[in-house]
Amino acid sequence: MEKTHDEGERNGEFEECNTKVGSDDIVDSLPADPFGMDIKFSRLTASFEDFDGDLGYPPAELGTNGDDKSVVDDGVFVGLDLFFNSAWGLQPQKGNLNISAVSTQDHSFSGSGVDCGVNAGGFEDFDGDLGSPPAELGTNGDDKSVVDDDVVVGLDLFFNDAWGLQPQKGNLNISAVSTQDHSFSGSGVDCGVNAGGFEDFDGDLGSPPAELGTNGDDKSVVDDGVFVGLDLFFNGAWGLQPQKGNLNISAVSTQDHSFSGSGVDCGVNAGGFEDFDGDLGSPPAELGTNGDDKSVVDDGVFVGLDLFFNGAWGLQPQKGNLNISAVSTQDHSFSGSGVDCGVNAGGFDSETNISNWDDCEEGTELGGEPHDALFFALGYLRVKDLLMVEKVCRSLCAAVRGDTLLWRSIHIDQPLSDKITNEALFKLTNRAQGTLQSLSLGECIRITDSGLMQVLESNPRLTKLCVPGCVNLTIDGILFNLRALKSSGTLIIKRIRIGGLFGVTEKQFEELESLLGVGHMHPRAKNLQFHRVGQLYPCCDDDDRAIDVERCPKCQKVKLVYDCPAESCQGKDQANQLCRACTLCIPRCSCCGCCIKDCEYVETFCLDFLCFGCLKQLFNCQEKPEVNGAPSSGHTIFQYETRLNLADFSLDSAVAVVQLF
Amino acid sequence: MASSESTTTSTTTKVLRLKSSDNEIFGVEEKAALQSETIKSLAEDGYSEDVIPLFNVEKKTLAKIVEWLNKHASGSSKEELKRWDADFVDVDKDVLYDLLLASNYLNIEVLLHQLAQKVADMIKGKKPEEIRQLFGIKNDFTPEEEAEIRRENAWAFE
Repeated sequence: MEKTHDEGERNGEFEECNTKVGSDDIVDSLPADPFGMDIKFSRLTASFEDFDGDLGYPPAELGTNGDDKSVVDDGVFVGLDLFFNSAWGLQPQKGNLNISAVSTQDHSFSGSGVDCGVNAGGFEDFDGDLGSPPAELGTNGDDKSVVDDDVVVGLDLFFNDAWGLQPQKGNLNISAVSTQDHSFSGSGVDCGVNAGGFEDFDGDLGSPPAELGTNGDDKSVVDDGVFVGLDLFFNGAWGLQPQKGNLNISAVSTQDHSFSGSGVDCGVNAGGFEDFDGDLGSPPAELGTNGDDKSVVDDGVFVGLDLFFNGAWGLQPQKGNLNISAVSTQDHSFSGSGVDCGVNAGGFDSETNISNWDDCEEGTELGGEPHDALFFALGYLRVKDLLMVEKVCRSLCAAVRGDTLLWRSIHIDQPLSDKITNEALFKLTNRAQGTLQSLSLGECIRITDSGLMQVLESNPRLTKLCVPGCVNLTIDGILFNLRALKSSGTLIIKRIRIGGLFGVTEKQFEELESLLGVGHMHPRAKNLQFHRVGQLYPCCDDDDRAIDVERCPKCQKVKLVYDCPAESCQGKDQANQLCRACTLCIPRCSCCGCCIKDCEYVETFCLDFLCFGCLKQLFNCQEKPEVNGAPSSGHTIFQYETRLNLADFSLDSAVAVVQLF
Repeated sequence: MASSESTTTSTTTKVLRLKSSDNEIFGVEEKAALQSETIKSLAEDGYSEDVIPLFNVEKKTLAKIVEWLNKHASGSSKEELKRWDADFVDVDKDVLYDLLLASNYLNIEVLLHQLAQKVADMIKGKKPEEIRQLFGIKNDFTPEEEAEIRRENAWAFE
């Protein structure tokens, strides 16, 4: 006690009101009663019963206190924000429904709380009898607590609770309870929280289901406990949508948070949850009792404690005789100096295990070995999905990693392109155990010359290499790699795609041609190459050319060269030749790929061009999007771009850009 | 089945008789049945006059397979076949499994491809836990193994 005064005097700002009556001011400043001198704070909300039988006793009873004393000096609470939001949607429709639901949100805040007992979610749904009170809070013998200089700043509590229960037909028996209990005690003595006492019986209940412990003789002293910026945010959203059949669903979600600066006997029992078809002989959950506890906390300072809890459930059983029981408990007990901080989280008893959603006849075990048929599908998956399947279970993992056939042709594209590193690529290609034949890296920006070299060295059977848009690769590096392979006599690469690599010189191009064994005038692709957004770079399998880049007929630079799809340009062989160049020499519509030298066009936000034909088509698509079905991603981009661009569309500026080339 | 009608209406087409593992006999026109490499080789081995026993295929699965064989031998247009196939593979997981294993055993490449593609489509874009739930697979990794795999694939999922 003396120490208490010393501490208080050191904090000059609280000194003047450091008397026993100082707490009257606090009471006046607080909105409600519970912080008065004679602290006996007990609160019960939302006791809710739906009986077919009799109820012998009161269902919920709060404990009594013997002789309580508490003194609060200079407790300062600043900026206490409590926000509760609770939204329910219960929409039973027909059939033998027996729905009981209760949501309780109890909040007990006590600067120095003595016997702060909260019983949330006292909830019963009986077909039979209830012999004795289902929930009973403990009693306290002789409690004393003293709090000096308790400063609480910026306490924010935000609770949001949204339920949607939509049973539809059949013999439903749904019981649900959600309790969110928060007990904050600067110096709490016997801060017992029982959240989610929840029972759904078909039989009898012999004795109280949940009982909180009793305390003998507790004392606690807190000096200079400072709490700054305590933010609690809880969000619990449930969606229960049973649809038909004999459903018996019981669910309980409890989120209990007990914060005690110096908590004595901070016992939390969250998720006491039972679903019986038979009898319950003895109490399912019982908290311990404490004999004689003492605790003293000096200068406990808590700054910026942020707790964020988010619990979202989606239970969507669909058919059959489902019996689903689920419990989610998120318990957090923070005690500056906790004595006997007992937490019992996830007390969960259920006669039946959670059944597989689809086939509950299969038994109680959730899943087993993957079906043989699944292994057939592995060959149809891309790298990203293979890496996911690998994490499912042992046998699939072994199949994915061990089957070299799956890795004989590796194609990396988005979203892995940006992520794959030299090391990761090396490991992936090694899964082929030297049988890698085709490697395609679309815009893999992290892959460097040395990384590619490592891969080429360990994969001597590679015949197709496709590295368009890999901006960290250089033509020099690729030539170096190919030369090295050539000198060791292992160069069997027949096709290479390097579109998007910068500054390939005529000399380098010639060397590349000679390394790949193609003549100076290697035949042009049989297929015409059209400029299309979304497939900026041709893939190895698109055509049978050895190299994708070539000399532009107009500027003679080594570039990706495109043909023209416009009928007027394709008619005669000569005309076709004339309209064949890189995109710098002949600007093309980025949608259809036709040349735009003779037609009107717009310039899009991305400085691409769009011919009026495509523009018109886009407008039609926008007017009637449902007629269009599923537009390609390229199309979607254009719709967006066009909309952006049309606002300040100017034909003059577009022409000006063209003239620059 | 449709094939029994065809035997009465047309005597020129040869009909093969396929017997399921549970002794149900299906008559299938030769042209349709020979899409299965397995049936083809069995027929070449001299079973063609007799009943061809397919020990690994149950009657409910074989009925579906015969349906597919007939449709794909009927000369439907490509678009119509595409639509029909999409409906055909749109079945319960268990039926899909049976069809897949049967088409593998019967060596009907096109059907096997369609079914495997369908299963792959079901897997695509899902997380491991979703795949487990969808296909009823138990996670039998030890925590250490799981951590190891996570570490190895970290580059892809960060």
